[in-house]
Amino acid sequence: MNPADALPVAHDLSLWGLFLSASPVVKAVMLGLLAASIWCWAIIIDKTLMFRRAKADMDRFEGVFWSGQSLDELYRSLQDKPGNGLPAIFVAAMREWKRSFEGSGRQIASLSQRIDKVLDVTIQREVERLDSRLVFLASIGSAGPYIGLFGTVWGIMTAFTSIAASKNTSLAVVAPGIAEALFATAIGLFAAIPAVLAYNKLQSQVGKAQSRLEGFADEFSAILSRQIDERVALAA
Amino acid sequence: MRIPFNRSEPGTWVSAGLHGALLAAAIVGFSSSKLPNADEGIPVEILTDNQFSEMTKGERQAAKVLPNAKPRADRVADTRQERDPGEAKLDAPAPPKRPAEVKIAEAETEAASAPPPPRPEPPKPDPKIEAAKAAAAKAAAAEARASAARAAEAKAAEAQKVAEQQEAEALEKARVEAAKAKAQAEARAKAEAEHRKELAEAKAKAEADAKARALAKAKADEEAKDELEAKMKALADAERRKEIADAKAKAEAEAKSKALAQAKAKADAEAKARRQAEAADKFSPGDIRALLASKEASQSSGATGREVQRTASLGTAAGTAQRLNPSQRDQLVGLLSEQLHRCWQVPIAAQSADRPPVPTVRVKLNQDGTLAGEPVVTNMSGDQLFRSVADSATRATRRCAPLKIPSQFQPFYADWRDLLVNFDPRAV
Repeated sequence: MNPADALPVAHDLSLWGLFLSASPVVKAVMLGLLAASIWCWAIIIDKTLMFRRAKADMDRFEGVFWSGQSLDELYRSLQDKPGNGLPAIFVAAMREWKRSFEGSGRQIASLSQRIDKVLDVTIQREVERLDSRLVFLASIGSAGPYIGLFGTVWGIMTAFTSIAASKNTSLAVVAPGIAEALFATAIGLFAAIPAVLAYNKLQSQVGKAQSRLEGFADEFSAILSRQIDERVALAA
Repeated sequence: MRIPFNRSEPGTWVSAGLHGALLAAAIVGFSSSKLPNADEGIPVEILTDNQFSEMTKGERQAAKVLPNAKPRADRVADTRQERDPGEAKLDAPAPPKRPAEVKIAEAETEAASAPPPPRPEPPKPDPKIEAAKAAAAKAAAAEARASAARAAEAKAAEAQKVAEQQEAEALEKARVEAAKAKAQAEARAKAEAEHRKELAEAKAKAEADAKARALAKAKADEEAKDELEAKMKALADAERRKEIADAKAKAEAEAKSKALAQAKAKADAEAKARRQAEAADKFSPGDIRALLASKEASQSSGATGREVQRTASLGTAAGTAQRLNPSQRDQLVGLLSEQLHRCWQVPIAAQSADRPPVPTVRVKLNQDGTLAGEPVVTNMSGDQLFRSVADSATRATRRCAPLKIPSQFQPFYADWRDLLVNFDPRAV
């Protein structure tokens, strides 16, 4: 390909013109970054909504939990649709509790440890669910500018080749190539900046939710272990 | 791949929609920014002040500055002519294809041949206006005479004529006619009742517009009943209508004549332009001869001077600077430093010092040897003696001004206008 052909004679500096006159590599970079930006925003919107819902659910469940309702009743009402967050933790622990008292023998010797394990696993699963897809935001936040920069460097290389071919260094020859090259970096930053900001925000929200889950699990495990001890004393 | 819309996770769709909207806005918003046309810069040669004053006489294309800066001289002659090498050119502009006076003459003949546009045009004898006027006059006469039958006949004939002449303004005219007929009808009614009927018939014959005629008839009938009041009223009415019709006809005639004059002027201008273009295309040997005569014949372009100088010195035609040769330079330096040192009171401490500091003073001079600016010490030293020695050096420079520059060095002002002088206490 003659590099001089890469730059059209009449330069269109509109965004669409810049995109069309870019070389295939730069085009691919731009399209990829645009797709990444769309996906980033999808994650941001989904996660924001999810955290808002999760917070509301936790508030509601804690209200019900501390309202003095009997745990068995609560378990029965939640058993079929454990959902996410605190209800899931509650249901998992209660199920383990019930199982231990069902059947032939009462396996309450290490019930407290088992409940702790179950709680841990459930918390782990919940945090994983909250945390999922945030890695993508982090990746785009850190790699987006580099990808854009790659497109820019490539575009500027093409621009310089065309300058050498046309043997003309006037601004009209240099500027369009550089503009279209910089456009790639602009898209990279456009994708990366919201990704970084949202990642930090969402990550802190994950941390908050996790500590809240753990706090609830500890409290609940304390209640259950007290019950176990009472029953052991009764049995003895 | 189809992404299902999940109500609890609408992010993908919302994000895609937002990006689409943003892109569309950006594409529309940044659509029409065009680069300005690239203008090449004017080639500029940057010279320092010194370089400018050191421009020697010579030619720009020469290889180097010769010691005796002289332009090229190919032949010996009493008068000195400096010419650039190459073919001589006479910078006479090419004569116009057609001399200016020819153009003027043509324009004049055209103006003479073309009849001047009748600007204050007298109202043309327009048949329509004439007809209207004649009709009005006739109507008046009929009224005065009160011979209704004759008038009616004349009226009918007139109306017919008018109807034939103007088909476009048939309605207008018809109205005028109706008005006139009405007026006559009144007159006739006053005179005789029978005549009214005849008139109505004549009217019917004359009118192109059936409606107008019916109106007039009806009115005439009414007027027959109450003659006097209706007559007065109708008279005034007829007068007014006639006036309006006249004014309208006049305005139309004027507009038409104006349009005609414009069309004519345009046609004239076009014809003139065509004639000029033809004249410009015409082959004229005179033009060619004039063009040839404006160019100087090819000739030897050698420069002349007092003596032949084959190689030109580098420089410009207007440059006047000369260069000092080394011995002259030594002489000048010696003269200047001798003058300066004579004025210099070396501080005692510096006189006895083993290695005294040597300040360097920058002295800027005018052509007559006076100081062009304050002398400035250009170097620095940590020696505690330096300050006093430097101060004494600048004082000495000030005291010595104006320096005496022998006249043979005057042409080399560029060499000594800016001096750096070392004041070495040991040299005194």
